[in-house]
Amino acid sequence: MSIIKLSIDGIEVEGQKGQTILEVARQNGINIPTLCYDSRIQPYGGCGLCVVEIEGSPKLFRACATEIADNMVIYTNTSRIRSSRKTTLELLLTDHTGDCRPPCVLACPAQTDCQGYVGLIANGEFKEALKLIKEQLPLPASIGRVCPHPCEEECRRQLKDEPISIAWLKRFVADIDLDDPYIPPMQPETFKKVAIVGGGPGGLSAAYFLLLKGHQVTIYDMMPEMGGMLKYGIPEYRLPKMIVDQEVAIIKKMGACLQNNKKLGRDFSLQSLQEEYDAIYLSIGCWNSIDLGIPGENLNRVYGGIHFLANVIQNKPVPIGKRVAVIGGGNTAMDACRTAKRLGAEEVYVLYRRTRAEMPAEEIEIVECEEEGIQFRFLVSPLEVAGSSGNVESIRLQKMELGKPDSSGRRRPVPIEGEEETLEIDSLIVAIGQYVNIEGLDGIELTKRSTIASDENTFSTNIPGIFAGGDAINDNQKIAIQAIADGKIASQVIHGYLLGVDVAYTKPYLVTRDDVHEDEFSHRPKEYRPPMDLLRPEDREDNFLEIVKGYTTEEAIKDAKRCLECGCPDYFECQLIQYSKDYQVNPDDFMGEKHHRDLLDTHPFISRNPDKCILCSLCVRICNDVMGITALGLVDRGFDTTVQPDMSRPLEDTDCISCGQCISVCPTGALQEKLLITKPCPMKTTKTEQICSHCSIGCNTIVETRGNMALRVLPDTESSVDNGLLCVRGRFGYNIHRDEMRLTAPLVRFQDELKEVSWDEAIFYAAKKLESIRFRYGSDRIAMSISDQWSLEDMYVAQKLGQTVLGTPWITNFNTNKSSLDSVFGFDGSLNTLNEVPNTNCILLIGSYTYRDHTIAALKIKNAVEKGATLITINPCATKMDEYAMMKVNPTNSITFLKEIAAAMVNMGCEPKNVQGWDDVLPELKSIEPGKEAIEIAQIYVKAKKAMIVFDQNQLSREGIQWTAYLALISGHIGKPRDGIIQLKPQNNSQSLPILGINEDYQTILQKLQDDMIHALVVLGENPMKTTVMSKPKLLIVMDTHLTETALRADVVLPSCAPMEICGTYISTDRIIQSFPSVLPKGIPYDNWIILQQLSVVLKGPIRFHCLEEIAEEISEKILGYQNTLTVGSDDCSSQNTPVLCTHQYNFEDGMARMSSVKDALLFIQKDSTIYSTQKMNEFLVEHGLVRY
Amino acid sequence: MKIIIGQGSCGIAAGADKVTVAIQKELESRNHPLEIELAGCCGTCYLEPIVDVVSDNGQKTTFVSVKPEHIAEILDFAIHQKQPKDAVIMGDNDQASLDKQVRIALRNAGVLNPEKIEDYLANDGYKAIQKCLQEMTPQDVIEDVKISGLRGRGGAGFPTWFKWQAANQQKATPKYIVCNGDEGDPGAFMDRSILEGDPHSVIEGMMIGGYAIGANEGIIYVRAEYPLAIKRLEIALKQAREKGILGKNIFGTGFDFDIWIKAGAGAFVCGEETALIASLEGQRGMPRLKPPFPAQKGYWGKPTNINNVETFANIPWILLSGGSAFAALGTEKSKGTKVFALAGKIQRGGLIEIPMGLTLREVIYDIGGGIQDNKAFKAVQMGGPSGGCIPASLLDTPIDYESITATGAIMGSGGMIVMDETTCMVDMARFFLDFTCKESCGKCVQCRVGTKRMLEILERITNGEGKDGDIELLEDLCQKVKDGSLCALGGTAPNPVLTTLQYFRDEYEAHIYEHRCPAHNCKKLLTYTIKEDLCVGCGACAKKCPSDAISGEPKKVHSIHQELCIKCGTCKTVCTFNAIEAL
Repeated sequence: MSIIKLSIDGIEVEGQKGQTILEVARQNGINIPTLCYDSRIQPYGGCGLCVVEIEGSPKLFRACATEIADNMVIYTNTSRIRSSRKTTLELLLTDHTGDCRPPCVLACPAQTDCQGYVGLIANGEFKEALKLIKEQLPLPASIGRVCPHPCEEECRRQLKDEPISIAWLKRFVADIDLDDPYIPPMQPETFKKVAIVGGGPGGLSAAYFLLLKGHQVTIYDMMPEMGGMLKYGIPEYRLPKMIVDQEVAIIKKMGACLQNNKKLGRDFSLQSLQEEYDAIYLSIGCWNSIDLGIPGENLNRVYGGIHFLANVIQNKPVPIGKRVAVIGGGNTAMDACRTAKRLGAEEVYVLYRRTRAEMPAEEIEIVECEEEGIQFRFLVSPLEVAGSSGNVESIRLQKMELGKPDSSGRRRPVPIEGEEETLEIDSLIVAIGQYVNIEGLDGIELTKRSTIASDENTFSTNIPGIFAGGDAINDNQKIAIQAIADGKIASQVIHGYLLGVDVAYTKPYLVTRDDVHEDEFSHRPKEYRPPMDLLRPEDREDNFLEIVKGYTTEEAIKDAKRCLECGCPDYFECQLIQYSKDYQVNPDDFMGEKHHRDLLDTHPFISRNPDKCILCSLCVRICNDVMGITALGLVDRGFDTTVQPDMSRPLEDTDCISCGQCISVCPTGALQEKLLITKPCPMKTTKTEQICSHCSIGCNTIVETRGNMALRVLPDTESSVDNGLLCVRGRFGYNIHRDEMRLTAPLVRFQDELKEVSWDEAIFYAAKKLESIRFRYGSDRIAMSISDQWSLEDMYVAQKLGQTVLGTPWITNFNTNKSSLDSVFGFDGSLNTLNEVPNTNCILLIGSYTYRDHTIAALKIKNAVEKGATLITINPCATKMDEYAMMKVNPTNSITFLKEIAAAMVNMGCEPKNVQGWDDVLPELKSIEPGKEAIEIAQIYVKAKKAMIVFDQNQLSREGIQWTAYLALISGHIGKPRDGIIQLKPQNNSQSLPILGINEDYQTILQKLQDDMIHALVVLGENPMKTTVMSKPKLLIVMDTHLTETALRADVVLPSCAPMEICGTYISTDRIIQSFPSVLPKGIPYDNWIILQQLSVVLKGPIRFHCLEEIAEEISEKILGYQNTLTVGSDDCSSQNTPVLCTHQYNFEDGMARMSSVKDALLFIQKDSTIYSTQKMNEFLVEHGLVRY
Repeated sequence: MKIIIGQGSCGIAAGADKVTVAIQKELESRNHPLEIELAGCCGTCYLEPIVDVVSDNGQKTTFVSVKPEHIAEILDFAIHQKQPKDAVIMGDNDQASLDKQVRIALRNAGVLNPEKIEDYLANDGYKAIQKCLQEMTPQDVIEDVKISGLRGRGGAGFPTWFKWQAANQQKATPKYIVCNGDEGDPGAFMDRSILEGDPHSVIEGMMIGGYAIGANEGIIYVRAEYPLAIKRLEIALKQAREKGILGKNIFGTGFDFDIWIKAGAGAFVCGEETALIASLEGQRGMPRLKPPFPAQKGYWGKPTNINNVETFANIPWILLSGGSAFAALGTEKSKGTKVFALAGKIQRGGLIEIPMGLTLREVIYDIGGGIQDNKAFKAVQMGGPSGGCIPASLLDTPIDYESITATGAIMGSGGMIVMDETTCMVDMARFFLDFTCKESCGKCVQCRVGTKRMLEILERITNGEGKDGDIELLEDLCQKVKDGSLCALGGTAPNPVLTTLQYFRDEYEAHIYEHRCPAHNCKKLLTYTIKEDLCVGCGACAKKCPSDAISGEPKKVHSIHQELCIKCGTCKTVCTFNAIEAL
């Protein structure tokens, strides 16, 4: 290969002839955006994002398709290119229908991920929900109580019935957290110091986010304790002060220095702060009550609303008398009147100059006022406060009527000439608004309204280093969550300022829908919020007890499940929105017709939304080009082009094999997996590598988890085992039985009924029963079966329990058909590896529904055919593999057909080498007259330069396997790279059975059970009774994840760990040893091997492992050829460090293979899985018609 | 003596079938045996149906716009030399316009019977391939085509010899030669006419090409909307096979060659080479990335050469007359002749073939006879939707590849749509964009969505809803669509917009800023008024007005209430007194 030198963005790079600009750029860490490229498929060039400039040409070139040439000078990021990409993205967004983020999130000033935490709550993931909230919001317990929840205003559930109780749900998880508060991970210390003036929600939030970034923070506040309006402006019955204190304590615990009773302008100046700190954030709020401006206002017992509330909260004496009037219609007025009532006022009036309809207070506040007996006087305006001896005695009121609407849109109150009234009162509270105290703001530019002038996007004031947010800036008077949002965004700007970079907040473009109609939810039943338990009005008259009692766990989950899931499930993975942010798009100018298509979304795993499709065609191409299926295609032309399943049928009725590859490559949310959890919702996940636990290929997967949930399993694009591809089992078979309850407690049968018992009881009971059988009948009356889904380590401990503790000779596995390869080669396993298959010249596929059972192996065979290999299929019926076959045969079910092929080989002059027993076999072969097909197969196979046999161990009889091996021996296609034999096994760890020597034929055990020769059977991780007729012995002990058919008949049932909960080692069908970590928290307290070891302890056995590594070490010592390879955490490697076995001799002492004459027998057999999760998956596929042969 | 009836699609559409039946009937009734032949179109489509009377001494009299009632007179003329009374003989002007042309690609069209191989053979048919096979090496053939200077007549004008050479040099076999008959430009119909009128020329051209590149299999990709072309091709192929001209060991030279027809489903983009190949392979007609070029990896990944129908029709003549004879015609860089389809507001619409280098003025006025109804010439759209419009100020532009490209239009396949003063140029751009937008294959974002958004902007401008900034937005989108599209469909789709913006920007501005359409074409921008002097008060307009915007007493002048008028134009259509004015 010749090396080509070129320059990309000024960097000298090298590439090989034939490589594209995109490939070379990626190799050199230069990222060129693209939405339609996948290295496994031919370049397509549709999205046009990867355009680059090449010096000397006026055109733009597509990097994905342009091959490099010597001395090319390439630019990947010029203004012309950026402009082109930006327009491309904008054009795509003009026809992208959906909601990137749900309306609740967009409505929240702090962009709290409402849908995310509601979804997590619905799934019972309370801790995760809280963590998510705390990414945006430091005071959830307080805000969950007092927020006027703009999120709920926008919640689309109200189109159906009622909005989700988003605020109450937040409070629910926040309250759980208060006992053991969660603090997000903090960045290392920066040694930068920030002063925050004002300890209210805004200041506390800025402090929280700055602390997380590693800065030192000091908060100054004029009040005795932190919390600001949350603490002093909101009455106890709405927000208990203990809650605020607890949340403040968390921020203190994070390292904030709290300076109370320090007032700006009185106790310190801005200048002094500037000298000591690197940056200052002013969040001083709005603490002065606006005066009425009428005579008598200075009398005693006339209070400003906010001061009244603050004094009451501080337990300062506030004389009010029996008759109290509150002027104003806002929330502060409501708080004041209800507080007055609780302080013992007998008559409390709200005086408001308009009517109830115009009141700015929240509806619920007004309702609760009414419940509490507050009297409303509407359409009155105060004229004069009168009194004697310095105290208020009455207020003279002007009667009003409503005139024309004013600038706020509300009708303006106008006085009715001559109509007045006088109200006798003992005290008056004025709650008509607040203004900013500008004391100490020397040098800070103010607005006309005497608030701090602060930049909307950067929160910077006119003085560098001083930032301001919250109620005190610009328009003032916001809600707490707005102050929190200001504090959060300002903290990002301040963080940038401290590091010397300018960061201005720009709102990213998001696709939203404004055409949602209630009909869209017609399929959902009406379901209102669970009613909230509230303190009854009569119980709250004389106290400040909290009115809202909060949801129970059941209520919270029930309400959260009502969420309509508006936000795009792909938001956190969507490449379109990511690029759109990168290129700061604004598609508004291009807006025009948008598609809104009806959707037939019936596939059990794959959800399609053509309205989000950008027609990159990756799904169509990977399905066709890589998977060999053509389930999807492009339909129609131009703007109306769309991706449709074949012949516009429902996807599940096409040839779709449900592998989900289309989803993996979809750059947007047009194709999504239907998440196998209670309430799907978009969320960031943890990704862990894992090995599939279904068939024996050993495919590598990436499992995405959050909390206790496995959300999805994705292919590992780096994997050489499967080339980044998965089948339906690997992709969707991880949690198909999610609706069934996991077995978590041990069960013991008492009087014909399984009853829950403690672990100790169950293990003791099982051990004693086993011991009794052993003493009464002997060890050979005990049998054990070990799951080949279990890890090698668990299997080893199980085997050791059977052999050395119970002493049974009968250790088997019900899932695997007995192979006869060991009788021929002295070794039961593939002699070659699957990765050789694509490079061989001829493949003889015998007895395998490869696309159905070992899809990834099928793709390797397909790959070989595409490279020119010849495929011959020999199966009981037609299969998908036949499409690639040069010859396909469905012979009668007898090994005679294989003998015919062997006979034809003999006629061609073939003779096996290094074999014992050929003389036994040869005479029979000589007597056989091979048929035409057999002769043809023999000729193709023998004459091929390299040839491999692939067969499925569970689809061929023992004799069939034996004769299959003979074909390889006779032809000489054995023991060389790309020249040999692959035995496909049924389960992820089936190959470990022969490696450990677990090789008793399960048919023998079945026979012994029937003959009453086995009295105790220990079934570990298998469910044979579902598929096999089996007699129950005296004692049946079953260990499994669920209450299987077998477990239901057991005397003792022990729960076991599920595949993703354990770590350990699997050995693939071609002997690749792969270790894997656990990805989910265990569903039970113990690892499988520990449970078995406990049994051993009770039985005084010698099993004494401390950790998994010890087990691995012992396996390595005992099993020849596996030394040093079996350490937990080791990389892939094949046994004996060689991918090809039997290169020179076979695994018998004399080094010769064995042949013997076999009478006629069946060739093909049927064998069903005994592994519960595989059984369930298979059942599901059959039930939904998704099985493809 | 014989009678030839023009039976191209244009002739049949104009009533040639009925004329044929009438002649047969008349002859039967007169019991006079007279030979009737059919022929393709000779290009004067505006004169169809056409009947030629050819006397025994070869003298031809052409009757035009023939109706069945003329038949008796024509036969009287043919048999008894009796001068016709109503039947029209082609006028001198029409004849003159034919005489100004030079016919190479159209040499047999309208002359020979396309359904008789004997006619073709009698006129030097299949002599060129015979010469090639017997006297020339493939390299000689390519050399002669090189000398001729023939450039691809499909649109891009790529030198034919170069493509042949590239395919010739490929080592992989088999190779394929494909004839692109997917004529998709609205207004262009020369390929159809050649296939209908002279299929053997195309077959022979393909054979020569096949010999030159080393292909033994030819494929003619014809749009299924051309059933007559397909029928005549099938007849021609059958006859050629029967004569041993197609098949094994042709002319005993050991050269094997055969051709099959693929009927395309009629997608404009399938005229693009790679899309055409995808369609041939049974896949969705979508362009692929180049390289590899079809000459390297084409049909089923094998070397494939694709030429247009007209290109192939030229080939036998070139090989027989010599490349230099062809090169003697035309300009320095654009050799030979080119067929154009004249359409639109032109007097003599139809096909013409002229040497390159004539000016637009000569073509439109001298050959085309000028503008219909003595209106003023405004512009001509060349190259169909991929081309651009050339304004009156550039009428003296010579017609060759370079000069036409310099105007912003393209030669294209030879469509010339002539527009007069009543054509709104914004609406014209909208019309072509509507076409390309619908014909986009949907692969490239810029073409799929960009053309749609451009169309929407043009629609709102013609609807009087244009906004300040729309012109700039259009220009920006034009550039982005050009830059970002993979194939020529998207790459050229903005051309009509760009050229109209270049030459008629004032019309755009009038629509947007003054809410008027200078050509009085865009309905939504018109004001309908009733001319008092012409209105007789018949009330027809008021009856048909869907928004009850017209009132007036019977027999008195009516009036239109502008605030109710929805500008549908119905009143103007129904008024028989031309009393309604739209301005």
